[in-house]
Amino acid sequence: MAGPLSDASPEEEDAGPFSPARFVGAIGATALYVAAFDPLGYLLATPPYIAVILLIHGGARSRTLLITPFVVTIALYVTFRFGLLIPVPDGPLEGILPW
Amino acid sequence: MGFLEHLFAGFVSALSGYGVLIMAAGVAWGIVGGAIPGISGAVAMALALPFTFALDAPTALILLAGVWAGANYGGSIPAILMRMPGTPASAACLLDGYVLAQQGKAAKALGVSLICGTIGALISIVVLIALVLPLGEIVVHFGSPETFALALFGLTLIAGLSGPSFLKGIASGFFGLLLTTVGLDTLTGSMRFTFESAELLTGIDTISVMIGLFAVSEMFYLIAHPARPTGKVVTGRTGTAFPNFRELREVGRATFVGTIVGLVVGIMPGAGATASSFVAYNEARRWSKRPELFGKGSLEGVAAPETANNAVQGGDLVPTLALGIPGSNSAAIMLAALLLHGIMPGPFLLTKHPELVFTLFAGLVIVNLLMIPVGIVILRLCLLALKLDPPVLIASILALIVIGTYAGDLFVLNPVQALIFGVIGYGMRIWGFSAAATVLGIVLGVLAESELRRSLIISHGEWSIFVTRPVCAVLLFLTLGVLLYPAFMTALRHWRARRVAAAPAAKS
Amino acid sequence: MKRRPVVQTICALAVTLAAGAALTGPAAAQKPSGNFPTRPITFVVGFGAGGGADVFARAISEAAKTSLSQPLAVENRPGAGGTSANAYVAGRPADGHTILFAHAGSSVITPIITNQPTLKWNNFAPVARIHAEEEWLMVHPDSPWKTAKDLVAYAKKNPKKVRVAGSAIGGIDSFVVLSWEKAAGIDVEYIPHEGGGPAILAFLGKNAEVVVGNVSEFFQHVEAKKMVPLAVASEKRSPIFPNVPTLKESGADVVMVQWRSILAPKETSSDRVAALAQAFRKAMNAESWKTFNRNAKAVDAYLGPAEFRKFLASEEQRFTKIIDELGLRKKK
Repeated sequence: MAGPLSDASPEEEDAGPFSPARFVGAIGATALYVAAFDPLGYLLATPPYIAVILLIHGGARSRTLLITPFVVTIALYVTFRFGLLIPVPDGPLEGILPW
Repeated sequence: MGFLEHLFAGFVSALSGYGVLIMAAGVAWGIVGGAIPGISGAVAMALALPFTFALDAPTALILLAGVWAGANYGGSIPAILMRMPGTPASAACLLDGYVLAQQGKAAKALGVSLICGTIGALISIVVLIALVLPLGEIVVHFGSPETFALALFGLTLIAGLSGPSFLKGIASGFFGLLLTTVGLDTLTGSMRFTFESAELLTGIDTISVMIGLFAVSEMFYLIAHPARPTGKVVTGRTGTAFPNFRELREVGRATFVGTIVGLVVGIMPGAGATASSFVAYNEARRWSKRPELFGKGSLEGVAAPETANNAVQGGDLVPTLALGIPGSNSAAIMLAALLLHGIMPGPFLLTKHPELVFTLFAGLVIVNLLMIPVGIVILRLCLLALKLDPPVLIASILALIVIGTYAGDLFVLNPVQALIFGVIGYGMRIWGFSAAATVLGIVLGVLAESELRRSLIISHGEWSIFVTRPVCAVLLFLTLGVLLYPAFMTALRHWRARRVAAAPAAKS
Repeated sequence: MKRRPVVQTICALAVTLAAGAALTGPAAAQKPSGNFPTRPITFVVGFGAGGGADVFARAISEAAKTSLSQPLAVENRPGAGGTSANAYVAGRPADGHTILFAHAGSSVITPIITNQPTLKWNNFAPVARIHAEEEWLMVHPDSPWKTAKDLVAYAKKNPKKVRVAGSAIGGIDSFVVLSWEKAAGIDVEYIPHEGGGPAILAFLGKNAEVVVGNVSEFFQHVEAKKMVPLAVASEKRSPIFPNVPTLKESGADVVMVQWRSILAPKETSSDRVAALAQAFRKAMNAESWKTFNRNAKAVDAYLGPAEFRKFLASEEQRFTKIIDELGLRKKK
């Protein structure tokens, strides 16, 4: 129900019924990702996270499922690490990476 | 050398050598940095600081000016396209911007943000250049009581953000206020709500919480409510039509309001771009010919906040250049650049280094003009991103949010806050509370609480300070007026109706 | 004939040993710092970009380009009065490639107030104290008090009337005032602000009678005749305003400076610590650093690792006493 300035939006008319499994799944996956961010480092933690979200959301082709996690991870890594010069945690890969 | 000669020399200096290239690079960097959720204008400028060592002082300043200008716009891009404020100052524009995007008018909203923002910035810079010294004299008269009154005035917007339930809106606002109390308190040194944890001493991270409440909750919503395969949800966002002249004329009033608000709030120390954007939104709605459209896709609802948050640039630089005291975090970085180049900022900057200041003035004008072409290019690139499949887009946005919120302070608790407030935001949405009211409470609550307490220390506990100081009294009176106006109008209507009902009876 | 091979072998061995000693001798002495640093050093600062700590870190990093083979990269990790950065650095590998900014607030006062001993200076390896800025008390040009003694006399008769603007409680500004109150036996109204800048603005707007803070932020305002120095919280009179007495001279023994320094993770080897200290010592001779100090009106106050450690211990003692007297320590 879209009221003046409430958070509901027009798209709600198209949205499906609430799925607790997907909701909890999304939260859980994100929580695990954030927890693993420092210890595992960005490069190791992100691809599985993206893959899990893609799976939970559904509707992605299998080729997308395979490629997207890595493409997005690398694109973001390059942007943040080399573009913005932000020290992204490398986790156990620290010292091994050539840069 | 006269004023105009100085200014002319400033332009010559800014445009010489690689100046234009450097400024354009700064603008691009700023837009990208601002667009990345979690990286604010100040952070983007700080990241550019190492590059300024190789440049001379004037060039360093115009580079940073470019980053600053770019970031003011950049934050609105994800706000409009994905309900994700890139910088805290762009939170207000998502209220209507995201709705517009879903109506297929994303490019119109982005165009308005860019064009109106640039207009606001340019006007505020002209005011700065013309009046920096006199304004520097009056800025010290805007103290804690005035800032408190302004914050209170801004908080009246909660009424407008509440949606159907006013009570829930107030509760949401109070929740925001409560959140701002977490952490080490500046005024007493005591630790509030920190639960023995060193990490919580800093309090909540505003941008992470905003991103959580608005964007993460939206992502969770989209995941938890699988859209029916009509494809409507996706195509709604890819409209690439820019605003036409008629639409730009229609937002003229809102742009004007935004500029005034930005100028006034910018000069007030303590209140910055974020506060000004919300106050401008509120005022634009109040003075709009079509207030009922706000929240449902009003271009004015994008024009006003975006103009305001750009128009604070001039105001922030008033104390910065006239007194050597930064008016905002972004201005602080410019001062840092000066210090690192061996130049001492302070009341004598204008007289001791006029060429530097006037080059900066020229640079500020040029970078805001450069915003239009650079902004349009980056805008088109971002619009392309929306053509991605929904699952890919959502997963990428979530990944971007995690690393983005981490990047600003390099603090793992930031993404955690984004996550937690994502869940809270979702709950608020389902149960009719207003995340926007909470964000307003956070943004203005910090100011309101600390300035109220500080005002009372200054006045030795006398509450009369709020009415004996003219500016403060005026603002408080306006706040009262705004709150009582609806009730007053209703009463007036009732009274008039009764008179009309009584009149024919009296006649017969 | 049999002796020859033995003699030869022994001689060969001797020569080899001698040669080996000759070659590895100096190398052995060099070994600890010979290959250090091998990559950029991360300089973690617990405060936001543009602030005093950050600018200091960037200025000394720039100057260190003349003395270190690798650059220093400033990393801002603001939060919790600077202690957020302390927590981060404590967990870093102690190979000398991570160092931490420290001043009294972030390495002594805040950890004590918040009861976080792991974030205190002694959980780190002191590298060097670099410079110090004086803490000044300033009044308006039309102020009725010409000396600190005048002000104290007035304050004694009018408790809580005098308003002093400064930065947040827990910072050095607040401690100057709190100690002064105790030493002079007065009660003033301290108005904390988010930083030196807002405090100055409040003062200029006549919302306070006195302002306390770093000299670098005040100097130009004195020149602009908006501020008049009242007293300095130092051992001796300052060369900047030699006609202004110290707080000590006025009867209140308060000596506090805003010193800035560098720490490293606890387990960092003493050789690397020494190498870093040496490099910073050398950096302080760089032209860019001298200009920076001149502008900041700060004084070089180098202390090497061992002396710095002693200094930190004495600072802790001093501040603990004040903190306990004022009851600022967090109750568990």
